[in-house]
Amino acid sequence: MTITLLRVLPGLLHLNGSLGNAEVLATRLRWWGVEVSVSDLNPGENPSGRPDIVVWGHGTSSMALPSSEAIAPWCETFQWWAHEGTHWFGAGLGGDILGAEVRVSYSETAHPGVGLTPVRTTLRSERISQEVSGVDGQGRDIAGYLNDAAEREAAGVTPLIPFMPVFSDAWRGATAPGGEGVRADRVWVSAVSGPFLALNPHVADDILRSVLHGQGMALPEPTERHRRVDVAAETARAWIRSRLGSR
Amino acid sequence: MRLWLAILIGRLVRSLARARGGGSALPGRIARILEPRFLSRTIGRLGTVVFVTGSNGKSTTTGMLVAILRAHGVRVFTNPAGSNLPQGLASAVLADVTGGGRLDADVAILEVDEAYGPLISRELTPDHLVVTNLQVDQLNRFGEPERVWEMMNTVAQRTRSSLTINARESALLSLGNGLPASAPVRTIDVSQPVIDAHPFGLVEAQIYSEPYPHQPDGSLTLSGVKGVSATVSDGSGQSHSFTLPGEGLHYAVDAALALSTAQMLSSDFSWDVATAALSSMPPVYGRGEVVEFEGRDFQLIMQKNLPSMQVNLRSITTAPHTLWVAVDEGTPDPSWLFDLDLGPISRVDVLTGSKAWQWATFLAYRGVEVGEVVTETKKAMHLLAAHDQDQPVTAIVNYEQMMKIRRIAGYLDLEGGQ
Repeated sequence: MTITLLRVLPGLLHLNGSLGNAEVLATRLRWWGVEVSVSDLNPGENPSGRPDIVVWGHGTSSMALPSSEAIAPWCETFQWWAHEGTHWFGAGLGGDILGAEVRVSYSETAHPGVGLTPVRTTLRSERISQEVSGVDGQGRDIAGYLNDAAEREAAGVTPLIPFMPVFSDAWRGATAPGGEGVRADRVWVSAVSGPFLALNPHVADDILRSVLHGQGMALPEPTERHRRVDVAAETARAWIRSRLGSR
Repeated sequence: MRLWLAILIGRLVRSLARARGGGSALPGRIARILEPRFLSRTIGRLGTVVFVTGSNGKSTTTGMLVAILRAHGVRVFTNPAGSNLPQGLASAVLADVTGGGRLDADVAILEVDEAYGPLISRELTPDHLVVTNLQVDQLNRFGEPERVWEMMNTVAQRTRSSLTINARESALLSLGNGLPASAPVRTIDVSQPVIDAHPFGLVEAQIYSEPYPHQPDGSLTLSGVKGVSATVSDGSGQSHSFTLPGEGLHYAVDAALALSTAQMLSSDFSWDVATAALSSMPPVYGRGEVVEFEGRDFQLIMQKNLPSMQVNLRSITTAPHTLWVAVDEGTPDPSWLFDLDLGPISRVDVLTGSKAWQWATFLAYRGVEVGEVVTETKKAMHLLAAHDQDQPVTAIVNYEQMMKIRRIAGYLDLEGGQ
């Protein structure tokens, strides 16, 4: 069995290590002995074959327009993939493009997104830039670096990280209503910078569990390599929590 | 009266700070509080003021330009590498200025922080602006390179006479749209074979910007870069070769920008003098400096941002005998690590600093073995110094760790030398 992973517009949406999320998903699968095929979808190309996972990286605000233009011919295909069981992870602008539309603060034009979430994003100039730490809906700790300058509107969205006791007020200012990010059926979106899944491997495993379940498989027990990297990530999160707690 | 008082008090504070072994910015800060027009009333009196700004290469380009001009007999006032904020500039003035506010120089060549460029240029109008590059840098500080471009554009709009840039960076060319009509855009070019020969290219930030509709005034082309040797071709088709202070395309671009600017500023510009001045520059600080601690050499490789780190990593051509990574809060968000090509690195012996566990996570996904994590810098140095003293430690460090390591090793001056 081969799990197929597609990186969309990696030339435009690759800011600040955000394609590391694809690396994390692929590497964790390979450590379990699962074969993984990683490919890219670039402007002007035709998507072929439905992938199991699609990863979107983060981009700067001036990438909103070219990204929106590039995906326009693909949206119908993406929606069909979503209907057929593809899983999606989006970071920053990549996550916003999975939503309904993206606006930049200096323009009246709304750039249409894929429409897999109802989130409407406006990239504004006021920025929040600091470490954040909190707890997800299952009580697991989450941490990372939030570097975000967006306002997001959506109704009826389940956040990826609901407002629980959080260790940074910044998180409240830059997220979808009720929490940070979006968690839909097979869609995970976070505004947290860069390789969110590296620091929060339990979310990576949520995605992989769902992907493997769709193939009739259970998520295997962690290998020694999984355990080692998860301890490193857990310790890194603890350092972030400690830094925020000491402020 | 205010200027005189600012110089007097500033110098007094400078003497006290130096006696205590530090404090390069404080005297300048105080001088600017006492006389808010301190920079314009001192540097601004010089005939020509040049700002050198950009994401990377500001110190190197400034140093090169200063060296070339001085070799031509031009009297230059400049600021020390990295002292590129308003208070750093003012402190540099205090070191050289007369009690009456005069600087014994014909021209000021100033390294200017890209974020502080708008503030400094409001007080001190540049005649000429050199922008080294626009790269993805310090996202925690700037958010995205678009913001940095806006800051550079503010300075460009205030520049009186010229803008010098690398024509290969379209975002920098578009800064020309904001220049006064009387100020030309001057460019250097980099030949395609030179770019193709460097796997990471120019690593310029890709942002949307309005195209520059005019033909820039360009005469120098970087036509060859191999190791530390570089060649530029001038407008008449003549080639001129020189030695760089380190390996890398970025140093060659810095040199071409410095040569082009010096050509404009020096009435009796000589290629022989200029290339000799460039070739005699010392190696660049922070990239390969060797610090000795308890009998073992530590070769410091700076981790500043993705483009510079990637370029600096190229100096590691074989797996180091001992590799140490020390990174702390000076790098608030090390997410960009996941964009790094680690080349031949397959093992890191010691990880240090408050970001050590984020590095450990990254390295694990890359399959790089980690010896141990010792978060405290001094403890890690003792540990590393105790083994294999005949082999150097290759140390990848951020600026804050580099300064800490130098202090622990007894290097008490700010920049280079013991």
